[in-house]
Amino acid sequence: MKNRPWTTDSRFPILWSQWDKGRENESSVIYHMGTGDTHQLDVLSAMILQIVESGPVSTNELARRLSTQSGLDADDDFYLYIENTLSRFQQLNLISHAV
Amino acid sequence: MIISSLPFKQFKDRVSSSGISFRVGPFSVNVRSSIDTVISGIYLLYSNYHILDDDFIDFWIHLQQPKNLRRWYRPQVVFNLDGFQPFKPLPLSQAFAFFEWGLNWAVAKHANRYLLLHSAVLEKNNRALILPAPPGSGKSTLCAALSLSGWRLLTDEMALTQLSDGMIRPLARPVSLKNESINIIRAFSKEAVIGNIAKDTTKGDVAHLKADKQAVSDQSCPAPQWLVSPVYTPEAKAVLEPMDKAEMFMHTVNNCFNYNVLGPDAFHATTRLVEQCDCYHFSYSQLDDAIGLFDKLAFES
Amino acid sequence: MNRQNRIIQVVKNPEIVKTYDLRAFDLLKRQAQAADLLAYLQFLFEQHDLLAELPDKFLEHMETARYYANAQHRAVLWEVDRIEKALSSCDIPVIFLKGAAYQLSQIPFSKTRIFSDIDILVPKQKLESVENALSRNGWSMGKVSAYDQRYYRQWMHEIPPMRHLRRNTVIDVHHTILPETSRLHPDPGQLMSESVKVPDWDNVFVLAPVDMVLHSATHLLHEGEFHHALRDLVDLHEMIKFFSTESIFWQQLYERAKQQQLLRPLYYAILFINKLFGTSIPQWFMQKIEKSRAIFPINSIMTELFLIASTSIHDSCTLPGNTLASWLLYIRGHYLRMPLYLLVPHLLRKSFVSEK
Repeated sequence: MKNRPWTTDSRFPILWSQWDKGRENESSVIYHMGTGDTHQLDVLSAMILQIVESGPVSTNELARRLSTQSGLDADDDFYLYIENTLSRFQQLNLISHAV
Repeated sequence: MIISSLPFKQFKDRVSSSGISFRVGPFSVNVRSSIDTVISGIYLLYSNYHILDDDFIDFWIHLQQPKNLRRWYRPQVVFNLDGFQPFKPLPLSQAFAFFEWGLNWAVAKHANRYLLLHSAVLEKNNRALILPAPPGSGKSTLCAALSLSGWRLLTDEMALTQLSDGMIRPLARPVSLKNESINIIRAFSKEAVIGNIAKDTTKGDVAHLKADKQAVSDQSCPAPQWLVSPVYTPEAKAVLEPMDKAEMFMHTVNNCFNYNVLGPDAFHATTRLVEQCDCYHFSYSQLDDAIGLFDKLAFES
Repeated sequence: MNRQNRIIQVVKNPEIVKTYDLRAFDLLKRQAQAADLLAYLQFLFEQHDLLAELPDKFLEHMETARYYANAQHRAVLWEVDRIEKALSSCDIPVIFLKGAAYQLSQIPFSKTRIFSDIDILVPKQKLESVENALSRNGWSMGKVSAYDQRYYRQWMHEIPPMRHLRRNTVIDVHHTILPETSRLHPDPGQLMSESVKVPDWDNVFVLAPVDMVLHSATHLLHEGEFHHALRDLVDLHEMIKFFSTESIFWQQLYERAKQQQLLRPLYYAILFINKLFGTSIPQWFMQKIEKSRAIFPINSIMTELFLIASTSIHDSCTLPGNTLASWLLYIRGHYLRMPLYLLVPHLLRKSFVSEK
């Protein structure tokens, strides 16, 4: 299970609006065409979702890319944060495990 | 021709027979009722609205007493929108307020050319101040006071943001005041014309402040300029604090009537709205301070 | 007073709106609102390139209705996805019926069709496992009285509707398209084996076109409720317009109706849409199915009652006799579904329950 990649469903796209992009106070809101729900995302969550959106990706690979993008060390806390975020996205039906 | 140009007797006959049609913002409404408080309430608070003889009417409204035996010991009123009853009957004493709530509902369900926000909107120098807020935030009181202090009232209850161009369409209606607000606004201005108080409604005591003539006749659509989330805070000084766009986005969505219906269009319209506006948190306790602050804001920009 | 049903008028001949004054548009709007057909009219006028002929105020109400239809369209796609996933453990094809199926088949008008429940068809022996899978995934039967439970399970073709607790959507699970007690017994096995897979989904199916039409036709005459009869007639009219572009359609439809013993309901359904909307039907087909009509005078009484009840959707077009016509057809709808000895207690019970 742990190594099954994460994916978004292209039949139910996600719409984005972002402000102060690339800055520390960057903020985003998204609309999911399936659930019709709207969510506010902080800068790291937004990066995670965008990585999954760009194509199926395993948790390990995602951590590696996020670490490069954000300049944060891929330590245990970082890993835990990513796992929590992914499971929250899954609960919100934004992402699922690729079949 | 406006409603006050009809003598009361003639007005009453018309409302209770074929109903009277008049223009409310972009909508046409036909009201038929033989209930006295409805007739006199409309005659007082809608006196400046234009009478229509259009054949196409947006909202056919009929308020009547249900024909059952209860009318002898517990008189009630039914709100009927073209044969459909969206609500359970209310006590007859609340008939005029029921008309106001029913019309709000009718607009909220039938106006998807607009992003509909639960919000007051006022205008100065052709710029719109939008105050989206849940009930209990003091929005209506603040709106009433601003409308009595040189700001043009566009709505106290429902902002009509045009999906086509993002401008705000006026929908000036009587301002709904609850409980202490009724006396606060009476004391605030001698010019305030307030209708009968409906007692013990689900919202407490309710009365309506008449919208002034200018607000009713001016149909120009200002551009949104300030998006402000008001919170009445006892004892607090009036303070405006900049609010994050994403946070204001969520606040706006939470105060939107038709967000789910419009779906992606609502998402885009909300994005445009928060981008067009300066966004603020606002806390206040004194109306005079609040008005001073908004006047300053309007003057500076 | 003019008691015309304007919806029927424009469905039959959309160009007629060019002669409408504002009062006629006002009535058309009100009738179409009452019948949940305003979004459909927008589609119809768009298709006939007539939108430019219409007053802006009327357009505004149609656009408003269209937004509701679009929102529903999005919600249905999501619901289909959720249902497919919830039933993945049941090892059955998930076959959608009615509104959701029209949408999945991309029949053009289906984007404007307002409906409330999602209907699926599953093999009878899988009912229990489907019910359990739905329960595990957030659907619930809510409070259903023991009497209603038995009514549904024993005499109807359904288990009680289940509601999703969070999304508040309702699913109706069927194992046949007509009640067990009905005198007609279309074979669900054949419906299932000839169902068609929907692209973009792994395990989502709809009935074959002829079965979809037959199902809709049969329902028209076997439902007790007439609130949606006009909408159901529009469904059939649009479906036939869409499917009959395939030349083999009429032959297939006739053969399937005969095989499934559904010629009589098909005859009436076709007769009604042809009478009301002028739906074009090949003459040979009409002649062939005409043999299945009921004997005179039942035939003409039925036709009259149905037309009165189905077209009286708003005060402005309610025809004299509507209440009686609806009541007689209501009884008839139940009579077709249940043996009389069951029907009488059921109707009695219904009238007591509704008095509360």
